[in-house]
Amino acid sequence: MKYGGKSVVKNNSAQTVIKKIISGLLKKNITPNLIIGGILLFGFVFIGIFAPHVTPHDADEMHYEHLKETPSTTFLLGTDRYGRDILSRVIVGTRTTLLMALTSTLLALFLGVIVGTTSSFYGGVVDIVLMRINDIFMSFPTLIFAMLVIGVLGPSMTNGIIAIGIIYAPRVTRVVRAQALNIVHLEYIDAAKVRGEFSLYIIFREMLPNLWPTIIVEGSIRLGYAILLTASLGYIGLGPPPPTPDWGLMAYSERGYMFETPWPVFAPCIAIVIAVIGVNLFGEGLKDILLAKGSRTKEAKV
Amino acid sequence: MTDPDPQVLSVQDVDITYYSGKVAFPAIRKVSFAISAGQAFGLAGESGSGKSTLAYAVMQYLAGNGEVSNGTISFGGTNLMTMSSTELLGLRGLKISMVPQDPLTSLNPSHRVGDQVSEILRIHCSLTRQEAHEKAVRMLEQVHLPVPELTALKYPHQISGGQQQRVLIAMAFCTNPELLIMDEPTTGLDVTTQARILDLIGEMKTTHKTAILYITHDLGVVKNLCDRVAIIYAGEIVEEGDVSSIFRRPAHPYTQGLLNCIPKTYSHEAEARFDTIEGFLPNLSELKPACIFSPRCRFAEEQCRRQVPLLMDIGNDRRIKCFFEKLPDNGKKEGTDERRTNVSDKDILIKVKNLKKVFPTRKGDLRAVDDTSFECRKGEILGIVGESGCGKTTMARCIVGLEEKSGGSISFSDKELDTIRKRSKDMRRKIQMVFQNSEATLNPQKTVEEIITRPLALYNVVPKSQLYQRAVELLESVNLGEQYLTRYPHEISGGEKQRVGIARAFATEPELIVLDEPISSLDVSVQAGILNLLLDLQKKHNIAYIFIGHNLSVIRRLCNRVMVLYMGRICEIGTPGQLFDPPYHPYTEALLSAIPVVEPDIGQREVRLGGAMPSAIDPIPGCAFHIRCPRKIGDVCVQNALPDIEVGPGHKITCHLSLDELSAVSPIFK
Repeated sequence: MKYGGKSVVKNNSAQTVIKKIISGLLKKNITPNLIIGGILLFGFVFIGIFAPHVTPHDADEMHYEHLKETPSTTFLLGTDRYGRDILSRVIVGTRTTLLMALTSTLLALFLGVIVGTTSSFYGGVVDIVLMRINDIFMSFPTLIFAMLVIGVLGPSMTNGIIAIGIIYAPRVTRVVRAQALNIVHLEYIDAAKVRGEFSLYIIFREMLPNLWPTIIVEGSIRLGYAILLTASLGYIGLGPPPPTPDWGLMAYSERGYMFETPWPVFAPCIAIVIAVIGVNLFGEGLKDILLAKGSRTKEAKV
Repeated sequence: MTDPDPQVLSVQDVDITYYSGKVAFPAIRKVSFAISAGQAFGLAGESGSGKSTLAYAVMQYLAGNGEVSNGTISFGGTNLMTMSSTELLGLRGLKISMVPQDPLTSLNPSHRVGDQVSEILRIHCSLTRQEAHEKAVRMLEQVHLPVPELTALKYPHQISGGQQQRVLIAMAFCTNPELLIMDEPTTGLDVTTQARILDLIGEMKTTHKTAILYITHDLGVVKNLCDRVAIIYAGEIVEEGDVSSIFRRPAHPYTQGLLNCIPKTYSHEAEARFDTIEGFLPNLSELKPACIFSPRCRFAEEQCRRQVPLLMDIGNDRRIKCFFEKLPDNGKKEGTDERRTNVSDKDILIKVKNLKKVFPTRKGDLRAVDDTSFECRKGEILGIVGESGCGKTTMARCIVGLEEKSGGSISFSDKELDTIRKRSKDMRRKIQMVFQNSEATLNPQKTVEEIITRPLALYNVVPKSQLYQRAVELLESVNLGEQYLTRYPHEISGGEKQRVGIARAFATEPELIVLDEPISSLDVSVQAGILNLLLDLQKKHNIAYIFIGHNLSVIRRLCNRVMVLYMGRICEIGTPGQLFDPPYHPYTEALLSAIPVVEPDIGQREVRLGGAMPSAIDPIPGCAFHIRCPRKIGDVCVQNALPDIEVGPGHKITCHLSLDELSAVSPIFK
């Protein structure tokens, strides 16, 4: 490290976590969970990013001569009642679902981390009040709460993201607060207080770097739930309005013909299942690296 | 026993290896010892020496990645290592018992303690429920638990730590085992409780004729309890023999070093500094064919670095692992006692008056610090001692401002101190703190450089351009080099972490540092180095320390004045010399008597405290100590407010006994 007269003290918390992930990977700490989950998750992300370019057909094009067809070599997953290619619509729907799920998860993490760390740091009355408010938010059934929010704000992709973010923030808060409570009584926090640091410095520079692993793992778990909720919102018609392709909406609009041709309903459902399984496996794999509490067999540390 | 072999346990040439991936760590190498019936065998060593590994190997309960790769462990003539797991199951708990270190986690919190004792009897001795319960109550009586019938019905959290340890000892002895393994059974306990538990173990040993393998890091405990001792270093026994002869004339340089590291409790020697053992434990995965201790040995010669010494008999049933039967006498270091710098009475730095700290609980107010007054002068080292829960840490946290005081005043250079947030920036700079737990004192996500430069930058101690330079200077002042700057806390040892913590406290150029048991989480050989460092820095900067500790021997060597605290109140305050000789406060007397002394020629008068520290919630109008006091007069102690007795200049005892009565006791140390 070079010092051109000035000492540069960087906050390298994010770097440390990335380093930890990389060193975990290098140490061959890779579980099958991480590999399978990673392939599925990044497969979906890849498809989502390049969606319009990887579809076999235009997702909105109606092939009137091929209505409600079963899978064939032209239409791999068949067509719906308007003759649109289901595979193409599932692929384009990936983009909507992932975009909504990812941004809402980030929003939930952002809110949850701020409330969780603040609550644990100040403790006392602040903690009690914040946590009871948190409990109130958590006592609403998720879908009903989403309907409330979207009912007030109106249905759109942005409002869907806000709704899901607000719904999952209290759950993130709980996890972050629990972990922060283990840290807040440690002596390096006391040392910072004795030094006379501002509360914000202590929360964000002393506590937060030690919370990153928890936050990342919690985020990966939340992402799975966010995908499910996005689909549910689409299904009850509170997701992005048509014609934006959305997995939930697809399943909803074709459900009347399910007994004639199951493909239009099954295809998006299977996509949801695979995406959620992928995300959860990936989260488990990350957990093994970041929050490893010794290996699973009882071994002594050497 | 009909077996002709008198040895209960015999460990022969045992090697134990741990595997981590493809790397093998030979944790124990060629260890042999034997214990006969009724004998207490001490296995003493520092952390990482492999002493607990050996205990688990004897129990055949090693961690999954460890194995006994060589040698035999036999119990009463049968080889334990060839036994099946069902045979072992019948042996463990019945013939071999173990008392673990942490009593609270070793007892099941959801079962009554009596049931936990009788369960063993039902399983191993096939007694009926009724018989087992009766026997369990008798066992609880034998370990001197109060009202055993009632205690048997209590849950672990309802009894004190010392009582929990007694229950575990009752569990270990209830099947009348032939071998008892004790893994630091008194480490988490207060000295006064430890003294009583050690008395109990000694008593049980003689009544039950049990062989005891006692594992500890505390040589003082070994001296008081054991018949034979083996000193273990980095997985090898370096010296073994009779306790009294080893403590009188340690032969191996490591034993000598270790004994020198421990501050003498009473011997009047003019020692300027604490002795240390330089260097670190070797990395066991890269062993060289040399004496394992040679890198740290002052006497090491060419031969030591080339050849592995064999265990050598030096007569008197003693063995050492060293090439030299007689080492050159290093001679006692010359030097005068420079510790007590002249402290002027006038320069009062911090004055605490009627300090009170109350924690409201559901049952009432818990008075952690109760109407305490004292002062600390410039350049003085003031020691605070007392058992856990006596309020010493709360007091420290009030002084640095981490806790808000409930009453009274703390003034620093005549300015009133409030909590940290309300203090001026300059005031915050002048008072710093060093913490107890070396593992938690540094933020694991920050490099040593970030940790040390932060206070420098926060208080503009030096211009920005000199931050790096200054950080290096600070590190060098705590005997660490520039190369430590880029390291993270998990890359350095416990002692080094504590040094960085000290450098961080000194960075702001404070006038007072509060040290909250800064050495209690470290090994003795490391402790000595930290204490020397603290003394050097104190002399160089002439700042004041408030040193909190529970080890009176350390306090005696380090401090100018000591105050003894019990339940948030001061019992006695004075210089260490005044404290260690009569007149004593009855509590000081008990504390002194409980110190496990290592010096061979010093006798100790026995004073033991009954009961446990009562809850600090119920108000006590009189003396807080009257419940346990062996010299209680009567109702005066319970009812009347306490008088301060001026014994000598600066020596104060708070007791109802008159000065003549207090002086009329024989000294604790002879």
